This record gives sequence, structure tokens and C-alpha cells, in this order.
Amino acid sequence: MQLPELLKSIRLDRWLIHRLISKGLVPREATQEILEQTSIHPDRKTVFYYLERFLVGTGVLFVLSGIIFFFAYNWFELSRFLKLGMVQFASLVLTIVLLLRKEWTFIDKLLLISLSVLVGVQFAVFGQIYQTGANAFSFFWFWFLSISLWVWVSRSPLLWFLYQCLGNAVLFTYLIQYSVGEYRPEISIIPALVNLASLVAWEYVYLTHGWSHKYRWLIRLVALSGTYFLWVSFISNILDDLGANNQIGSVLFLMAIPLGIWVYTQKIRDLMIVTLLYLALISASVAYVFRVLTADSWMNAFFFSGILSIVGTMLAGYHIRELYNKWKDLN
Amino acid sequence: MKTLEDLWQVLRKSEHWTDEKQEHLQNFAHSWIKKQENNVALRILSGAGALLAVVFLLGFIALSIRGIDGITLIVFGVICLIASLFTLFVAQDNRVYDTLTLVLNILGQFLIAGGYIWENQGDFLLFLNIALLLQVFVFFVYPNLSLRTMSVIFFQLCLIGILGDWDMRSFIPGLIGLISWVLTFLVSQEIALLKNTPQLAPFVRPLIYGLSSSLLIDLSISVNKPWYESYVDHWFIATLLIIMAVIVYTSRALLRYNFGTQGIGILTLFVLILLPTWYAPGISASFLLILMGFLGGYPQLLRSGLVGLVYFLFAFYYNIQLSFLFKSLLLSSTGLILIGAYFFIRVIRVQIETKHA
Repeated sequence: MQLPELLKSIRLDRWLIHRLISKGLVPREATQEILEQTSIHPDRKTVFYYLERFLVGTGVLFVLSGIIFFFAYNWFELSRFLKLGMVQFASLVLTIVLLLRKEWTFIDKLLLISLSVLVGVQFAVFGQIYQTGANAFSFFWFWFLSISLWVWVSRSPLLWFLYQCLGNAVLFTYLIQYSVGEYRPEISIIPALVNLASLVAWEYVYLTHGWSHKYRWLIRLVALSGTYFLWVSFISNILDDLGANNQIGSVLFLMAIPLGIWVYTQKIRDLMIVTLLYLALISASVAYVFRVLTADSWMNAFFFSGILSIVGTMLAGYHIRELYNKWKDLN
Repeated sequence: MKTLEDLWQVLRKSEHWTDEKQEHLQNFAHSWIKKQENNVALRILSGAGALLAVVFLLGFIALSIRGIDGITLIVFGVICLIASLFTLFVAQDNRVYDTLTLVLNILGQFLIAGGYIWENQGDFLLFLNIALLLQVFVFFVYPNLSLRTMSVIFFQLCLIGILGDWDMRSFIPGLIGLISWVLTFLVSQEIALLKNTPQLAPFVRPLIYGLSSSLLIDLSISVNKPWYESYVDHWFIATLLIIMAVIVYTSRALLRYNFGTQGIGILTLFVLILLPTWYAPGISASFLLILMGFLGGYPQLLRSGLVGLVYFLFAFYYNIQLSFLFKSLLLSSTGLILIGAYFFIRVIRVQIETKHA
């Protein structure tokens, strides 16, 4: 490769500049100028952009938490009218402000998220005042339903994240309260399947609608929750001897993880998700080996599990490095 | 200026640019491309795998230690440390072997410190002192980002342990405040450091990563009220020192952007926002990291600061033994100040934009 092409393939970052200066390739006197020209030191416009978002975002978070704590403090001394009125007044103000706004900016998304949280607070307050007999499932379920329309029109990943969390809460409370009656590790299979189905949907939307790469964090979080629930199901089966009840979870885990690795290396390129799947696979294999070997000798179990962790991680690392080099050329 | 090629085009026009430097740059570029293969995903995998392996292998050592004398343990520890240095140099820039290097290094440190106290019937304080020296050794001898960052974190944890053992727990908040000061110094004096001591450049990154992680790790103990009430007091000293660090760092950054008198307003606002965190140094530390993140252009610090902020907000207001009314007022007033600050900053931005238009 010729020098200009070689140099073109290297993106400038802070640590590269540090190295160039320490090697004497860049004059030390030019440090400030280079850091400014490369935008490593942000300009005034960028500073204002982040500062404003940070201040208003944390401000809203603090005020909402303050309102919730106020209810917790003064519960018995407040009249019904005041309890419901306060939350409804706040919701009404937010709704009017949102309706009057003409553009769809960061602030509007933030107001909509606040409004969605206040809906949950309203349900909680209503349930507490009138003792409706509603349980945790009903609470999450109606909250989930009520904000659905806003979530769909919001185009806000943060609100989608809240929606995803609520969805998981609905599922868990339903399984614990109605289906199984108590918490058991094997119920993780259902949320795992739902989260994996949701992951497929997200990937479809991401690929077909040409979403920006900056929203991948949401998809990665969905992948994390799906993998986590499957992993819990597999690990609890190994360590707790759950027997035939949970075999389906183990089979699913053993099918889904290799399939996931194949999809994310052959069809969709995402190194972080491949890493996550490898970590789940390595830790599950180590747990299995540890469980089997403890029947014979604890010392052997510890030793071979440790060695397997090292070997498994290095093999996975080798694959990840290969993938990086392959994808770098494709990009 | 986005790529190294853009920078090279500027540099080659200088009269000091020689053929020798050109060749040097070419070699450097090849090695840097190799280093780029060690992406974040690979580092996360190596770190997590190493942690898992260390837990199991320490369990193995604990079970097999019976009947082995201290000297043998030290010898094994030294062998592990040498082996980790060996894997580092044999693998050169290939971080696939990081797991092995990390595991050998951590086990080596444990075996040396543990073997020494085993041999001399020493106590935990002696263990901490040896571990402290080993961290200095690892930091300067092992040219690896993960190991250096880890040694910074372990170094200050050993210091906290030593202070605890000496019954000087009241100094722990002061030590945490000092960490925030060293971090502020490194971040705000970056250009001066690079100009005067360019040979120290490879140590700056692990120091910044290690110290910022240490701040969050250390302060996570301060959220447990029953624990810190009985063992450590005066947490407000940490808050005070962190607020001072925020003032110093922000004023330097504002000077760089020529904010003039409006800068004083911004500075006052930051202090007002941080005053309610008197009992919650974790929140002010997260705020400091977030500021460094976007004022200094450190995305890693910004991300860890945001995660820290969410965690400390939940943890402090759940654990702190204050009435709900006080908590509610504290949160709402801070929120209102923050929203007020948003409008104030907007006004300043418009003023500056009109001035420069």
C-alpha cells in the first residue's frame, strides 16, 4: 500500500496524536492547533449543543423524581382531589405544550417521555386512592397500552426503550401472578422468546428503513435482554437441577446462540452483539464443565473451568479479530 | 482534518520534515493499523474472559495451597509475572492474547503478595503494601492499556485499604477528592503535558481511564449509609473537593472558548447545581466526568459519567436517611435550577451568536 492510501485509512483521534507527539513526528508546539483542527477539542457550538441537552434532560429527570418523592412523603395528608389533580394538571400542561409546539425536536421528545412517565404515576395514584384491587400486572399492562400510540409516533429511541422495559414488566408480572403463580427460573424462556422476536423486528426496521448507526444501542440492549433471559434459563437448569421442566430452555439456548453468531457474522455485521453471544456461550460452557467436574473433584473443577475460560475467550477473540479485518476491507 | 493523511499533508510542507521522519511515519502507521484491530469488542471480551478465569483459578489456588510454603508461592508468582510479560512481547500488538496476559499477571500478583505474608506470618496490611508496590511495577513495566488501567484502580484501592487499616478512615473522602484533582490536572493540562514531557504520553490514557473509573468505584461505597456511617464519615469533604475541581476545570475550559463575563454566570450556575449534592459526592463526581466528556472531547468519560449519574441518583435517594419531603425538595429544586440553567445558557448562546454574526 502506498503511503497516502495507508495514511488515509487511519482516522485521527486523541490517542494517536499523543503517540505522534511522543514519537517526535508532530512538533509539540502544534499540539493545541491540531487538537482544535481535528475537532477533538470541540468548538463552542458543539459545547453549547451538549450543554443544553444535558441541562434540560437532567432537569426534567430531577423534577419528575421530586414529584414522585413528594407523593411518597405526603400520602396520607393530601386530599384525593389534590393527589389526582396534581398529576393530571402536570400531564395536561405537558400535553398542551406539546400540542402547541410546531417542530419535533429533542425537547418535544423529552416532554413526551415525561408525559409517558406521568401516565404511570397517575395509574399508581388512582389505584392507591380507590383500592381498585388492581395488581402489578394490571398496572403495567394499562400503562403499556396507554402510551402505545405515543411511542409509535414519537420516533424516540429513549421512549422505545421505556416501552420495551414496560413490555418485559407486563410479561413477568403476568407469568408470576396468573400463569405460574410464583417466580421460577424456567419462566425466563417466555421473555427470552419475546425479546428475541422483538430483536428480529428491530433488525428488520433498522435494515429496511436505513436507520442511523447511532440507534444501534437500542438494538444491542434488546439483544442483551434476550440473551440474558436465555442464559438464565440455561444456567439455572445446569446449577439447580431443574430437570425435564427446563430442558426446552437449554435446547433453545444451544440453538439460538450459534444461530445468532451466524446471523451477526454472515448477514448483519455487529461485533458488539457477536461478543455478547460469545460471552454467553463461554460462561455457559464453563458453568456446565464446572457442574460436571464438581461431582468428581472440586480442585479439578476450578482448574479446568479456569483453563476453559482462557481458551474459549482467546478462540472467540481470534474470530472477532478476523471479522474486524474482513469487515474493514468490505467497508 | 479527519485522517492521518490530512495531517501528513500539512507536516510535509514544514522545513523540518525529513526522509527519515517519512520512513518513521510509515512504520508507525503500519503498527497503528495493527493496533486498530484491538477494537472495543475485543477488549471487552478479553477483560470479561480474564475475570471469569481469575475467579476459577484463584479458587483452584485456594484449594491446592495446603502444604505449599510461601517461597514456592512467590517463585510461582514471579514465573507468572514473567510469563505475562513474555506473552505481551511475543503477541506484540495482538490483543487476542490479552486474556492470558491479564490472568497470568493478576495471579502472579496474588501469589507474590500472598506468598510473602504466608512466609512471614504477616497481616492484611503487609499484603496491601506489597500489592501497592506491585501496581507501580506493573504500571511502568507492562506496556498494555488494560493492565495499566487496572493497576491505577488497584493502586488507589490499596491506598484506601491501608487508610482503613491505620484507622484513618476519615481521610478516605479526602483521598477521593484528591483523585478528582489529579484527573482534572491531567485533563486540563493535556497540552502543557504533551509539550513539556512528550515521553509520558503513553501513560496519560491509562491514568485518565483508571482515575475516572476509580472515582465511580470508590464513591459507590458512599451510597450505603449504614456502612459509611459506622466506618467513614465526612463525605462532604469529597463533595467539596470535587466541586472545587469542577470550578477549576470549567473556568479553564470557559477561558479557552473566550466566554468573558458570561462565563462567571455559567460557573455560578454549576456551583448552584452541585450544592444540593452535599451528601451525595457520587453525583458531583459524575457531573465532573460529564463536563470533561463534552468540554474536553472525551466520549468515554461522557458515557461513564452518564451511567454514574443515573446509578448515583437512584442509589443516593434510596439510601440516604432523609425524609421524603427533604428528598423531594432537594430533587425538585435541583431540577428547577437545571431547567433554569438551560434557559440561561440559551440566552448566552444567542447573545454570542449575534455578537459573532
